[in-house]
Amino acid sequence: MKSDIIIIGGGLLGCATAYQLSKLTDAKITLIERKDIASQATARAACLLTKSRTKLALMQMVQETYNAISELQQIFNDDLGYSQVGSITAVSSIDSHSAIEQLCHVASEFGLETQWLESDEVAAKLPWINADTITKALYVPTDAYIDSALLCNAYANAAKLNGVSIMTRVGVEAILSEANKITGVILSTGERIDAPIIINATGSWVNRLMHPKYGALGTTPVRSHFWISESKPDIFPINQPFAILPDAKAFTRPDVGGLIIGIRESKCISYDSSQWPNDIEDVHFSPDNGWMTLSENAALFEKYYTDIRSLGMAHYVAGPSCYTPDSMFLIGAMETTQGLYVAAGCCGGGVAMSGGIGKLMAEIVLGKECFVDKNLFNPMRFKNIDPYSENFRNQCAEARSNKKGG
Amino acid sequence: MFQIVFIKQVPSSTKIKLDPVSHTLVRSGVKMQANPYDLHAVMAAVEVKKQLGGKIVAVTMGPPSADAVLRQAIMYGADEGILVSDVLFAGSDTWSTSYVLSKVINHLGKGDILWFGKQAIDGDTAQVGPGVAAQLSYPQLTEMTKIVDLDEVSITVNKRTDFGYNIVKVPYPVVITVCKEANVLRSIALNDWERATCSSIQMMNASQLDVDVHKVGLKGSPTRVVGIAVPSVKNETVWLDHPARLGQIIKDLIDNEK
Amino acid sequence: MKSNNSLIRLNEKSCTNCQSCIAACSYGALTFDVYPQFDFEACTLCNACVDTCPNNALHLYIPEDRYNQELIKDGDTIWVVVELNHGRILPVVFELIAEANRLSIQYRQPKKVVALLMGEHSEYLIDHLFKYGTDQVYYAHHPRLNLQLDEDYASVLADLAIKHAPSIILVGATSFGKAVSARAAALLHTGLTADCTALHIDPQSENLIQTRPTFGGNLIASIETKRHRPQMASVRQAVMKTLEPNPKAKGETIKISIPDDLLLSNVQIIRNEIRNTIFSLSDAQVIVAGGKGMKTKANFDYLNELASLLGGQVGGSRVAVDKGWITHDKQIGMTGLSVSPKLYIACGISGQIQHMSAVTSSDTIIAINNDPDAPIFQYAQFGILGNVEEILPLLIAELKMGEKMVDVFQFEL
Ligand SMILES: Cc1cc2nc3c(=O)[nH]c(=O)nc-3n(C[C@H](O)[C@H](O)[C@H](O)COP(=O)(O)OP(=O)(O)OC[C@H]3O[C@@H](n4cnc5c(N)ncnc54)[C@H](O)[C@@H]3O)c2cc1C
Ligand SMILES: Cc1cc2nc3c(=O)[nH]c(=O)nc-3n(C[C@H](O)[C@H](O)[C@H](O)COP(=O)(O)OP(=O)(O)OC[C@H]3O[C@@H](n4cnc5c(N)ncnc54)[C@H](O)[C@@H]3O)c2cc1C
Repeated sequence: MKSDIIIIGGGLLGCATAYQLSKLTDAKITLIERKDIASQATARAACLLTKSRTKLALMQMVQETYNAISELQQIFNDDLGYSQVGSITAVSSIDSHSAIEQLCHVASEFGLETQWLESDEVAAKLPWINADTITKALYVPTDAYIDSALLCNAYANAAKLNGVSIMTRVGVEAILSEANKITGVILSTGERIDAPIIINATGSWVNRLMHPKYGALGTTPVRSHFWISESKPDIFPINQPFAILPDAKAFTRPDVGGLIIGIRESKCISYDSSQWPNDIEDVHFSPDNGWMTLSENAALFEKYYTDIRSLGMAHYVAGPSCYTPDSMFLIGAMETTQGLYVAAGCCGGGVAMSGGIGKLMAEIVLGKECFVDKNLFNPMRFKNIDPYSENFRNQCAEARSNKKGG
Repeated sequence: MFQIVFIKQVPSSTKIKLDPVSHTLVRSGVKMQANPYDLHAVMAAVEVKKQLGGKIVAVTMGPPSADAVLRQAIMYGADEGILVSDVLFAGSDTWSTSYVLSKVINHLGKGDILWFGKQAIDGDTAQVGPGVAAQLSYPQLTEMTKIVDLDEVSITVNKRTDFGYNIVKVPYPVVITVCKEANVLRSIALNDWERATCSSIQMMNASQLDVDVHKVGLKGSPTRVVGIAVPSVKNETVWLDHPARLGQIIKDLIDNEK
Repeated sequence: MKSNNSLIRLNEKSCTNCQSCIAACSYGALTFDVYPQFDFEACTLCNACVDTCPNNALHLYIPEDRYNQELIKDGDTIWVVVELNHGRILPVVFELIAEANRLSIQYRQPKKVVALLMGEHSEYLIDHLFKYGTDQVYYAHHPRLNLQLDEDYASVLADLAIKHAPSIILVGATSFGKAVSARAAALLHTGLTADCTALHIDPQSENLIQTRPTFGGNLIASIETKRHRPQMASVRQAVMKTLEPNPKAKGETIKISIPDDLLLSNVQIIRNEIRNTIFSLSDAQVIVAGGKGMKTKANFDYLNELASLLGGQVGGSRVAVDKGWITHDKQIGMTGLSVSPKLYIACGISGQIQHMSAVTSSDTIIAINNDPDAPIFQYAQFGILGNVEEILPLLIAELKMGEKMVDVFQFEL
């Protein structure tokens, strides 16, 4: 078998890349997914599409996702679970004021519609919140969330319409090269596919196909998680904005009458992906179902929602986010080998960034001019690292622990 | 009212994976949890306690790590947990398990209602509840779907049969096994978890319970597993070209279950 | 090997240090130090490590206990417990009589097949038992036995089994049969294997080898009651074949009157309702689920009709909930209910992992979808490709046509 471009991984990053590439080229593209499309990290996301970011480039990337979503909605005549509820970033310490003002500044520069809210306005939009503790709140009316699996499948199906072939339930065992040039892949079936270009978008497993042969990627899976509360539609209305509470290291989102609550622990947990099973279903993310984390962080969250300790939790969802030490993605060419590319290190924003990451990847692979500065995401920017070492993993975990915002 | 709820620790998934090459079982140490039916039993006990007061004790027999399921029971409303654990008990079959659990009741005195889940999702035997009832000479009500009436001396429940339902009344003490439709599991809150985490679990071993060691564990169990196999797994979807054919298949499947 | 006194033993020569046994242990009882090491405080002897070892290097070692050495003398009969429903013998009883006949001839010295009938005014049933292959009928009579109370049936069964020492007792794995056999086995201090799907006699030991599904049907276990008698098994309905009835067959009937003091059940049946048992969605045996492909709320009427025809419940995917076609408490999936029905019929559901993770323990999955590449077909045993709006009405019509047939009693008496 032969292909011009092989994409490995059928999560959001692989599928978005397939879609964006297929819009720009007639080359023969093959996407290979070991399990099913959207079955790994992508299936566990809280799905916030937060537009306001600290860097302009990141805002441009998110905008590309919104653009891709409206294209896909038109192609399939389907909302993809898209819900434009708006977002509120609310802080309660003076320390955080400058950060939120900076956020507002970048957003305005980008042309994003924002609005400062008074505490009674916050209370009206988020009936459960203790608005008195909030000293400053930024509202972005056009923020939305989506169903990550539906979005990922829509990328894949649109790519398919554009001629991409998609193989599922078959994995890539090894990436092949000769004289520092990519030649193809070996599949789990033993079959070989020849191709001069390979894009590795295997999420948590990205180092497994690369390290040590093609170089180490500076990313490791870090646990992300959220809870879904019992249904209380009177205080958790279905169309309330999602909320980002930096001082509580938390975010919330409506979910059919319940509230999704995400909490970032002060010491995040990282994993050695060299030891990982192929299916995250087999990873035990939390023996105590996350209760310990919730217990440790309840004091902070309690300021915003007094009844957090007696709120029944219907579900706990945990999964891997792939963090890098500087919280920026890994997108671009591997200098070691001609024809080898990577799109990974999503840093907890792979849903929001998918359209942009896919577009940037496509532009890089096709040698086109890039819509953002690709050097920000150079995948080889971390030198002399052992991505499986505890020391390095801790750096990645810290990046998540210290992250502000969603 | 003194109620005892028996909880079993079971794998959180009974899915079995096969190594595609060697065709041996891959039993990657799955997460353990409380048997889901047993949690419905806890909820039923809580319902009784709401009306009649008293105490609910959760009991499990298992390795030391099984204390987690007792804490789960406490989250749902049990007051205390007892972990019955002894190297001698390892490998007990349903007879030996019922024997040990009935000794726990003897040790505690007497229970008014002993609650069990309808069955455990790993073994699916539905034997331990009736087994304990027999060893203690308590009456048994299996497959309870609803508490109909309650007072200080007796309980009236709806129980499922193969042909419908029976409404039955029995004085205490009694063994009752609970179906999932008996109640809806409530969501656990942080308070519940914190209470359960702080609860101390009482330990009981073979010598405290006065069990005859010849009757417990692998050695003392009447039955023995002599072989284990994986049923022929489905490989390919069978494609049907007409709904009528599908109808036939559904009928066959349903009839076989009758 | 450091666990010589223990029950799980390692053959070091066969061990390749692959550590799959360690991964297999759910109790953290295995660690690795040159070879696998066991912590027997934590071990439940669940056998997962033994089962998983690709090199057969681990064995469960059972030191035979003196106490259990004297094998109770094997009896020369196989009993079948007769369960009645409103004066009719359940079909499973005839299946068990046939199976008892098949087991009997596997012994070097064939055993007699005995049916145990309990109740009063039930004489009229005895001939049917002979017709279907019974050699002898024990008719235990007392008016109270017509109430079919677990405690009474179990006392009588245990009492007679002690007196007459059968080798095997077979019971239908009905709700009642399972409850009675579990109680009787406890009284008799003997082994019971529930829900058997196959039985045979081991040619060497002449023990009954009982095969049953376990782990939600994902494993098949063979179980033996080595030294205790009788050997008891409850057997699934409709898996064993009945014998051709022989209208001329006759046999011996032994009437036993049961003394009052054996029947001490204090359970009072207040009402007996015969109607279709309704299971909640979480416990349903049949689930018909709809997803986005159902397109409209009105189309869910098909699912309701199908479910009621099959005695099942209706559930749906998250999309169906979001669209308001079903309520949130009927959502199946990672953030909804987990289900494990015998039959799961997915209509217009694509099979995303968030949905499938909660249904894969279903015995049989059937998918109706118009996209041949939908992941649901990777899980489905049966698939039909096409439009739900076209397929469902035809399917419902087909099932309605068969409705009467399904209800016909197989054994006219
Ligand atoms: C709890 C949680 C909440 C989150 N919330 C948000 C949020 O609100 N907003 C947001 O934007 N992001 C969020 N994220 C992040 C988002 O889910 C991820 O960034 C995104 O899904 C990553 O996609 P991916 O394609 O890199 O990874 P994956 O979805 O894991 O895809 C990688 C794929 O590669 C396949 N693969 C691996 N190895 C091979 C091989 N050798 N051969 C073939 N295939 C292979 C895998 O099977 C897998 O399907 C969240 C994540 C988590 C865990
Ligand atoms: C964190 C998180 C948690 C989630 N939890 C759950 C959960 O608990 N349960 C759940 O279900 N989902 C859950 N989801 C949503 C999940 O991602 C999917 O969106 C959802 O399962 C898809 O539902 P569906 O199969 O009905 O829709 P789709 O995936 O859109 O599938 C519709 C299917 O119908 C077929 N179809 C269309 N028209 C017809 C026709 N006329 N005849 C026949 N077939 C037709 C299509 O081919 C397609 O396969 C969750 C998502 C997230 C992000």
